[in-house]
Amino acid sequence: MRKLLISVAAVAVLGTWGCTRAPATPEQVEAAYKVAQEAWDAAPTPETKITIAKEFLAKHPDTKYTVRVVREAMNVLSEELGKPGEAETLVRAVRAKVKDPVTRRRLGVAHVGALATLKNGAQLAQVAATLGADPGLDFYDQVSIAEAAIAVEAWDTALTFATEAAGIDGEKLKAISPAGRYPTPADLERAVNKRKAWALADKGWAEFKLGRTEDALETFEVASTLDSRQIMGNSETSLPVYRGRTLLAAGKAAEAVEVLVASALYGDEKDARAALEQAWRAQGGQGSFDDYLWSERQRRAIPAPDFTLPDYEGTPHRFASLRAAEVTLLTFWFPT
Amino acid sequence: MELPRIEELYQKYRDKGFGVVAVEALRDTERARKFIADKKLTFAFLENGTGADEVVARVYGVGGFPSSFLLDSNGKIIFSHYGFEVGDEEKLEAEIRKLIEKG
Repeated sequence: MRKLLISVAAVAVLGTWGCTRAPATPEQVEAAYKVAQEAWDAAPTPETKITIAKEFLAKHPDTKYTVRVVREAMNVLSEELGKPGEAETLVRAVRAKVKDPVTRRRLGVAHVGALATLKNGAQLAQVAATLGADPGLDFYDQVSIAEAAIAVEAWDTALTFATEAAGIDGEKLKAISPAGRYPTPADLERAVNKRKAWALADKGWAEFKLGRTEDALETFEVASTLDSRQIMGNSETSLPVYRGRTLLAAGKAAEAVEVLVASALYGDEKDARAALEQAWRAQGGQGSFDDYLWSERQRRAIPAPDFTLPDYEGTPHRFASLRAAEVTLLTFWFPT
Repeated sequence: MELPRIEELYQKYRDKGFGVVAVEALRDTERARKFIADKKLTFAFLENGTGADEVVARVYGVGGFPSSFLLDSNGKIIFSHYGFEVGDEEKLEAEIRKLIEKG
């Protein structure tokens, strides 16, 4: 879903706090964090940022800033320095020193992500198992662990966490959403169902990979009744891709085509197109797949529904009157 | 798809008949105004309604953001795109070019 927005982070410490025995007061931690953050922002190289982060974490390993600093440093190590192994070492080392249960949990989730990047399925399953019984894991934690496990083909782990995630309900979702995000019960229900479908898609895929094809198809069936589709019938989840591939493997190519076609035509998931091409050929499609896609798109395309909404001066506009001559991009967004 | 990148595409193809309409879905008016001004975005902006005037979820079925739709010269939806990742701009640009050429 939405990428993590990286704010600022990190460290360096004034005076000799790190040398004293008494734990730092919240004010001291705050001040140290502020100094580190400024040093981080002014850091000339990614390596300098890592040094700053490590110094802060060495002196203040278990504070409310720990998760933020570790995540920022992991991001620099993996993305800017190309050293995902060091990112994993960092999060593992810091987590070992942390006692606060919430921080431990959040670092555990980050650790699972790092192990997925390293393709280390065995260790990922172990770390996930240490988190498994934690009642504090929320939907996004569970689904991110399930998907990390899918990425390394740790199917039992994927099944466990996807099943947990599918237990999302209105109360749980409200607890982890900004106030007012779901103004009506219908908004909340739609959001809950979409997340359930998302988790059930992961669950079904794990079942299929564990050889339980019939269970998987049943799980997908339930998921598809809950999944909210965009106007062209395409899903915002991986459900069509997983379901289509499972149907194809079960010898149901025609059903697979139907499940995949909207996402492949109107979404832009590479996986959906690849799976549709397989299913289409399996049920006798011949010639250029790109030509097939283009003609199917034309055949199934529907007019964009018109609507009237105000601009920021309060002037109402009909969407149709704003359309351009050749191509119009209609985009739905919110400021982050 | 990030709006500043869409602005680049808009500047590049507007003379060839490409337009953009952006609807802010959650009515976060103040932050939206600030974002539009800060990033110097020049295409059309509208604000989603509420209740019976709500368009984004009710009419277009969109629950995740950003979500985008490309319309051809007949106003038909020909492509949709969800989320933003590295490389998305290239995909979108390829679709826009295809529509301008085939249009």
